[in-house]
Amino acid sequence: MSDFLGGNDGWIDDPEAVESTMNDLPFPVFQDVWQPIKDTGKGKCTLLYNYIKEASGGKFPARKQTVGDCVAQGAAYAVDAVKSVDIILNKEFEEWVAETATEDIYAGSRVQIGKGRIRGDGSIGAWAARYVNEYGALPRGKYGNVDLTTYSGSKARSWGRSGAGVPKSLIPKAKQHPILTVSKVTTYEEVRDLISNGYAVTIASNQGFSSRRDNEGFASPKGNWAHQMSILGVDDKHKRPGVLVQNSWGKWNGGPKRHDQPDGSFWVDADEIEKRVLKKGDSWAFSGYEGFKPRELNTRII
Amino acid sequence: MKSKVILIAALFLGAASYGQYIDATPQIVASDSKIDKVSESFSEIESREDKLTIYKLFAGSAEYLKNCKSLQATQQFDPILGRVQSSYGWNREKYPAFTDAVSEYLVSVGYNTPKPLTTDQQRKDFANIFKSLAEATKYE
Repeated sequence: MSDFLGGNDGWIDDPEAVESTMNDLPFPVFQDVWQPIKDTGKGKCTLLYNYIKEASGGKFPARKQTVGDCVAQGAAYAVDAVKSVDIILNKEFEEWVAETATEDIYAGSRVQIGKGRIRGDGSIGAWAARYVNEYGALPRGKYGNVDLTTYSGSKARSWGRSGAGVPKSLIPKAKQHPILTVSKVTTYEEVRDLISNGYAVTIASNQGFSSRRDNEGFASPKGNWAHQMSILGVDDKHKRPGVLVQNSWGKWNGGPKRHDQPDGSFWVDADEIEKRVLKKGDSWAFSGYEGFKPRELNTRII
Repeated sequence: MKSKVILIAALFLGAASYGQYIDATPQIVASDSKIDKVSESFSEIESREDKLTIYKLFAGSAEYLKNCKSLQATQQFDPILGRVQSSYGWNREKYPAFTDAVSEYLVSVGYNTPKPLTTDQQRKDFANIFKSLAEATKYE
């Protein structure tokens, strides 16, 4: 665990659980379906966070976790990216509504998928991926008597207790909005090609990074974090190919930025992300969000 | 920004055509009672300048929507119209009775239900809503 924010990371390194979860996924390994888009991201720069900014009307989610629910925070950023790509790039007839809630993903990954076997805080990347695929993800808002308007770490922790789980009334609503495919990724090239085709990627490992970005916006590997984050950009045309990693600790780091990257993010060199993070085997590509049809339009237009 | 420029250009076209109808005789814009109510409410507005602005906004919108290919859904238009209104210094609900009448008309033609704008017919139908409003707000 990192000592940042008192150890608010929360990824559990459990290769057996990942393997078991993969057995239930329709496209468990991205390599199986990679061929059609192989090398399409070569030499390109794709910034998914710009789609989130555009779809959300400039309200890029500033996530700051207060408990060990990083797995849900990283997954939620990936869902935000996928739904923004659907709206802005794929021109699907959907609307943004709000940033993706995390409490249900956290609890659902631990209880509905993980069957309550983790006692303390934390979850597994594969479980969160499986949860948003099977049960869906909801934007922040009120759903009957369940209020997910504002992030609550204590609610996430409470729902995530063994025997609790996502409230039953919420599940039918969430199931209308699944992530359509999730697949495991293990190399930089896969991530590069996925991001440039509008997929988003969650990453989980024990690798920590410096809180100070260098002159080109990169953070060097430093320390140990049992942590999940998300990749919201790739720049393969820069002299230092790499990925943009978005953390969920608010404005926790500093230093120069590149491409107007969001607060709390940092670039990681391609070889470092592959060697130190992706090879841990719990990083997931999300694509296709079953989103929300627009609500009624304002008729008081003059 | 591009949309705004196109719409403002369309509004100028609308303004240019204003001279052609200013001396025209009053006309029946539609048999529908909702659009008649828009005309009635419009006629109660005293400011000639505001009447011209309202007409320009509707006529320009119709012209813009007829030609614009970039909008993919109807709900994308309201923010554009709002920005153009702001650039004109226009405050919505300046004439509440008129706003009510326009709103009722828009509900009656299904404007409030979002729709895709992916075919020429869908664009034409959406533009016609504003064309009707423009015709209903010609100077009497």
